[in-house]
Amino acid sequence: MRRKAGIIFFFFPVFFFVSSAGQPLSDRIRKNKEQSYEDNLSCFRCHGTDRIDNDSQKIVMKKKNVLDTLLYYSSVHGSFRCLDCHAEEYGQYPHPVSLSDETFLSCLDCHGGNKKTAAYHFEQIAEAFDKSVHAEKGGEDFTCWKCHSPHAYVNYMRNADSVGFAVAIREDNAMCLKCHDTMHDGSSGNTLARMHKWLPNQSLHFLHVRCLDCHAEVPDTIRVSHHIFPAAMAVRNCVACHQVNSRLLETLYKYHRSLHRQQKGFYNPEILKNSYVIGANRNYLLNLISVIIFGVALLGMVVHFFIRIFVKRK
Amino acid sequence: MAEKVYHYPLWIRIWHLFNALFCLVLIVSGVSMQYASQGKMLLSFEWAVRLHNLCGAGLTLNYLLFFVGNLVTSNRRHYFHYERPFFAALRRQIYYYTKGIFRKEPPPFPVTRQRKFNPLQKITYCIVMYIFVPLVIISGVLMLNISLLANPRALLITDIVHIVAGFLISLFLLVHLYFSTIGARHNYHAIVTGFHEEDDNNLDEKNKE
Repeated sequence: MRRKAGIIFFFFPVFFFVSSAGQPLSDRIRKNKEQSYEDNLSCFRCHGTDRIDNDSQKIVMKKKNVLDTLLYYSSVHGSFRCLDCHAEEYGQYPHPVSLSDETFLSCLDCHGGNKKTAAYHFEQIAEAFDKSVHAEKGGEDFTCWKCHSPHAYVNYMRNADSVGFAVAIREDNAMCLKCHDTMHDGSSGNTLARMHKWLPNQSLHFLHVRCLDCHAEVPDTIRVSHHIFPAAMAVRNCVACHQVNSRLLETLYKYHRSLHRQQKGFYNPEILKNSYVIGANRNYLLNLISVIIFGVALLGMVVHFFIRIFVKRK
Repeated sequence: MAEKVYHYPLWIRIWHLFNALFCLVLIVSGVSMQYASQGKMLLSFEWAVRLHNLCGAGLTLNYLLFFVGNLVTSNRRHYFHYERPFFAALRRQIYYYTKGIFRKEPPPFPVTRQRKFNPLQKITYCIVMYIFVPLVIISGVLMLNISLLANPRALLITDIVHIVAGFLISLFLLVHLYFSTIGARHNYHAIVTGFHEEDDNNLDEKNKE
């Protein structure tokens, strides 16, 4: 416990100046984080460790009640006090028994109709989610928190330019794999690898695109569609991505699309930052030169052939 | 009476047949991937990838047959023994293709028992078989084992090498098909039967040698 607390005290000042994605924090967020850190100290004294062992008590904490404090302060909600979302009565210790029935907030409880977070389009996300296979099959129990931990969620994709696409994609896919990777146990024989057997260069695809890019609707105004398809409706058409008008531009690279569609002759240069997609990253100049050379050669042969015929008949 | 020369033994004819088949499928499937576009495909992308990988492996094995065959048989002399002076011989052959042929002049380097290819053919075949084909094979093998190309930039450069080499081989194939109609009768027949039959009007020049 002491070691963990030491780590927090050592690293915490870093969070005052730099977010997890390496972006400078605004003064307001920094101030909030300083405040929340002070206020949350008493909570994390117990909930930041898996074992409380002091003169007055010895308690093994339940895993679900323990938070990674470093992760919390680097998450999108890291500037909040615990009691901003949890009942004020949690401020008492021992906690009142009545709190065991506490209902947790949903995203829309804070973000719905909130002008400050309007840019994130939470209402549209909720509408898309309602149409998704998760809402259909998971029902009321499938809340935002199933994928986006309120204590640990970091939006890597928004900061893909600074953290790198590889990290952003890995973290994004980790959200899906939390549940879907259980198929890797092989008990059903339906491993992810087997289900994607049709996909050439499978591991390369898993590293360079998100599950969402094939398993969700193409988003319109929002960055990421939460209308997740049933597996049978997932994109299984290679050309959807492997062409100049690649689907990836509307999904993975939606907000990283360059104004200039060509750079050094390459189509879709934004994709080249992360990977190279055959068909989507063809080179305009090379294509043009090859067509000209091929055309001139063909024309030369046709002319040569007809002169040969003409001379032969003379 | 035209003279028959046995220039294409069975192993060369088998190699040539498979080389032609693999190259055609690789070109069609390669173009399908490179110019992939919804609803305008020669082959579906999925099939293009499968066929390209399969025929790429086939071409590689077939190339080994050619490479080893040329190492252990006398066929290699047709690729590496050049007329001297080299550039003068090339100029004579180029002159023949661009002017001499239209003036009904005999070919400067007709096929004989000792000579299967003219100087321009030799250098072209040599460049294609010992530079472009190995390049396309090595870059193709690297892309088949994509884990060797962890960096997207390395993948991009490898694919460009693959595409450029593939394009030059396609261009060679086109010119090769056309030039096979020049100079001797039944060039296409020769690569099937193994016997080369020179045109009657080339015999005088050949007999001078």
